[in-house]
Amino acid sequence: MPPATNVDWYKDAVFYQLHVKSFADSNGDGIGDFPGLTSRLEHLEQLGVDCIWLQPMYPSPGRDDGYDIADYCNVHPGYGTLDDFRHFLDEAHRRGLRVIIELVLNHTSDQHPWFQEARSSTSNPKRDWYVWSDTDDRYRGVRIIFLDTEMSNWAWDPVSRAYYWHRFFSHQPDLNYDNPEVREEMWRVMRFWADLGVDGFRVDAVPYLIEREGTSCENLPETHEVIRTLRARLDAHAPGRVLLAEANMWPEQVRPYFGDADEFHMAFHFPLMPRMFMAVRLEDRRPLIDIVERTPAIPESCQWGIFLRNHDELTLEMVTDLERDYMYDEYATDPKARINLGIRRRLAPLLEGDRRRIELMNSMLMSLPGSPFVYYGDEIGMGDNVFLRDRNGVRTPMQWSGGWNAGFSAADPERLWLPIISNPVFGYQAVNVEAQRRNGSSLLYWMQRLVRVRKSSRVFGRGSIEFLHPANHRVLAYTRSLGEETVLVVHNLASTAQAVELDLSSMAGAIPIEMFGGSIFPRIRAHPYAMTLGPYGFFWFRLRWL
Amino acid sequence: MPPAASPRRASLLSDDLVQHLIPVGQVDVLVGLPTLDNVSTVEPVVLAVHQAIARAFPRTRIALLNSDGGSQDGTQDVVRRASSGSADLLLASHTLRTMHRVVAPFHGLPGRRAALRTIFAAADLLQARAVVIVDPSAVDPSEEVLAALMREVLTGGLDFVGQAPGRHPREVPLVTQLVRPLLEATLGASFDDPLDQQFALSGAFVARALAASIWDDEPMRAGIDLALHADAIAGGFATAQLATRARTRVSHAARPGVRESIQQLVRALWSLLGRHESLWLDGHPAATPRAMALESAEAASPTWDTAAFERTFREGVHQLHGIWQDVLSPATVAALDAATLRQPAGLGLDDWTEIVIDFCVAWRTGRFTPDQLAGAFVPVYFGRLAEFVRDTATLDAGAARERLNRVAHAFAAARPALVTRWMAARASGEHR
Repeated sequence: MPPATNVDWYKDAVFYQLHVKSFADSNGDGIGDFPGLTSRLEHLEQLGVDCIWLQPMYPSPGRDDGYDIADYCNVHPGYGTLDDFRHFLDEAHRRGLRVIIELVLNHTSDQHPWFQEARSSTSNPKRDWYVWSDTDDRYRGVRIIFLDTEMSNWAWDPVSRAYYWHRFFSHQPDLNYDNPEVREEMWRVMRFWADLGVDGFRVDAVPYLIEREGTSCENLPETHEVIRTLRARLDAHAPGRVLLAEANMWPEQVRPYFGDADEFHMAFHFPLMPRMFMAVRLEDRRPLIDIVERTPAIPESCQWGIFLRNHDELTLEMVTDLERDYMYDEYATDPKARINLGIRRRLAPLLEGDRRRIELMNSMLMSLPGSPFVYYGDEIGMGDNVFLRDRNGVRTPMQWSGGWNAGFSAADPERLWLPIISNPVFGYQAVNVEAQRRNGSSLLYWMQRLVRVRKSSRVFGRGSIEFLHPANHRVLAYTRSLGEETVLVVHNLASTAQAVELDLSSMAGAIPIEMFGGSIFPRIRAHPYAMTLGPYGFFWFRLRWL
Repeated sequence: MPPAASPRRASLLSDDLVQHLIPVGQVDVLVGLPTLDNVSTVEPVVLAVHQAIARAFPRTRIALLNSDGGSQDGTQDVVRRASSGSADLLLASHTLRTMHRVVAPFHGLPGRRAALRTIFAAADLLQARAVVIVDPSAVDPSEEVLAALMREVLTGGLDFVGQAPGRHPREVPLVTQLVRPLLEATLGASFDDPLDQQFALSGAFVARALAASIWDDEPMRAGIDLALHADAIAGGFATAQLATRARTRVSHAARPGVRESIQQLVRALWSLLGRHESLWLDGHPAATPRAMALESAEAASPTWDTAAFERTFREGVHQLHGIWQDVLSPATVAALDAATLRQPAGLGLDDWTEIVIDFCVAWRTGRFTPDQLAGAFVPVYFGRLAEFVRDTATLDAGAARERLNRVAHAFAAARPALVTRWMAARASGEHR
């Protein structure tokens, strides 16, 4: 079991996001499961990550990748049993890995028994667990999130002959958090998993819990009150568990969800991600610095979650129209790669398989403020399949080997829940864990090393950041400082070699030690510090006053 | 987000040395050779280092750093010459890697502590996994011992490996009658010779030591080896000591006299007890260093001039009677007077133990300057020395060793009193 006393462990942690059904199949039915995942924990232990974020593993009709939950206190039968989950959790803890799970507070599946009861009769005790209306004109003006598929936030229920409220798909009715019974029931769900030993919850679709006439029905004060209550109860019942918010908004809009350190411990920083891609493509540090400097301070115990890619599209909601057009032109020339307001590609294909750029992006991910999240498969440079529906193209089975079904499953290939990536560039025979484990210069080994170097200093998880502003705009340089420790990070965002002079006079007297190889660089003086970097090259220096 | 702090500190490494260390880069082992006027012995020492490396660690990334504390006798030139490689040595063996040899120019305060600090800072910069501090004054240096020290840290998982020289039990009485039993009674364990100048350290220990206060604490200036040995024990590091042959040491450096050496040592010892008081007052004994056999040899019994010891004892008691009345209990002063009047004069074990505790407690009260106390302690030590030397004169080594065990037992038995009185002194005394 990871140490329980370290209550803010998430500030130093490297997270690894995975979906059970895509990771490893132990029983040959073509769907990943908990015994399969348990058998592959050694991979994560070797990679050096600290915490697994499990995407939804609950019973679900699976119409929204599991985010349509039909039973909150069980696991999907296709993924195994609750005992299989317990065994997985115990084994992960034994290896020093923490586990956080998904918690969808806002809505259930329309197949959930609660909704089935609620729709059965207007007098049913569960009726008020959801938001009903005789007309579809309440909460007018509230935006529709899934514009591609939904015409309204109201859906007609022919059974009970009334409309029900849904912010996402129409098969996902919103729970009514004005009903104390709903709040109590969701706390019971959290307590159930906390008692099993999970280390926290990634809370989906946070801003939409409460509806009020005349508002956007987003980020309402009453929603914060719901979160504060759940946090207080979780802290009291199971200290050291983390609450992570998914709120795809600007950082200043997300900031209230940290409250006074009494709401979420963590929240994703969505706008940072597209700007990292933009900065590399533009060969200009400005987009990245702008968004970091725009990021408000958060309470000491709180942390941002940052990422390069995840199970969704590379979202371009938090960019301007001009920036979005640029990103589409540069990263999604194939229209099939575009979905909603984003790009459904994995990291390696987005960067054209360029190892140097993949390393550069990961270097930024691991050195900027926040706790990094690595999406499964990105540690080996897995590809995607834009021909699959929705965002399934980035959710294909993990590529473990060059053998049958990439080592993912013993099933016939036709039974796999999604086809394996098989193209000559990113296919499983070229890109897989086994091959990269046998090659000391593989991306996997490099990622392993990157994680280890990041974890060698708490400055990355907890330190302040100060950008340097050299004349060469292609160079992104910053210092991270915590107490007496300072790390200098320098990135060349360009595809060509760059020379730069850094004003490090405030650090005069320090000796830079390159953190990956341990090489010593000349002592810093009051005059500009000259440096050259290869294409997409970067340095992390630990500064020592010796 | 707030701007980064810009910590400014005095440089531990000269620019010239840093320039020399840049091409060295990361190493597995840093061999540190702290010298101070060792021209007569240093050449074979350097050659032994080379042989040890060439034979035992030809693939390992190793650098040799000679950190000189201000030699005036040409020691650095000899080291440079010896390091450039003799024809015989090259024919006999060689390493696969370039072995960088750096002779650090004099920087800072002269002395062994400054030289060691430079080595530690360089090791930290080079991220050495192991550091071997080599004694430059050994007449017959052993490549086997150097290789073993290196190996036990590099591959044995140890943090501090010292030496347990195979001395006769009548040798080094300052260690056997005072330093070792007092450390064992307080910290719970000690190296056989906590003053030894040759040992190996892990990178983790070096980093910790570098951040410790021993480099600026004046009493530690002459007690740096003692401080490092004690810190390894007190810090809970994995320690061991290699049984080796006792070696003759020669140093031409201007050394302090015997009296001054004793004073420097007891000042360092008291300071150590003060630094680690939170550990030993809590009563959590540290682990004893693991014993490892390498060489065995029985040294001959030394001869001593007991008449001189007695004379120093009597004269000192007479001259310093005033101070002792403040430091010691009336009963102890009476016992001391009686001890000087006896023929032959000398201090028995019980009185000695009592007096050592009295001095420790007096230091803790802060009512006396360390110099005053250390000066007053010297003749007492000679009284004990006279008694011990005379008592063991006709004993064989086994019986003499048994006498050392009695000393250890006497100090251990006195520990509760020391703890009680130390705490009382801490509560009522001035801030130290």
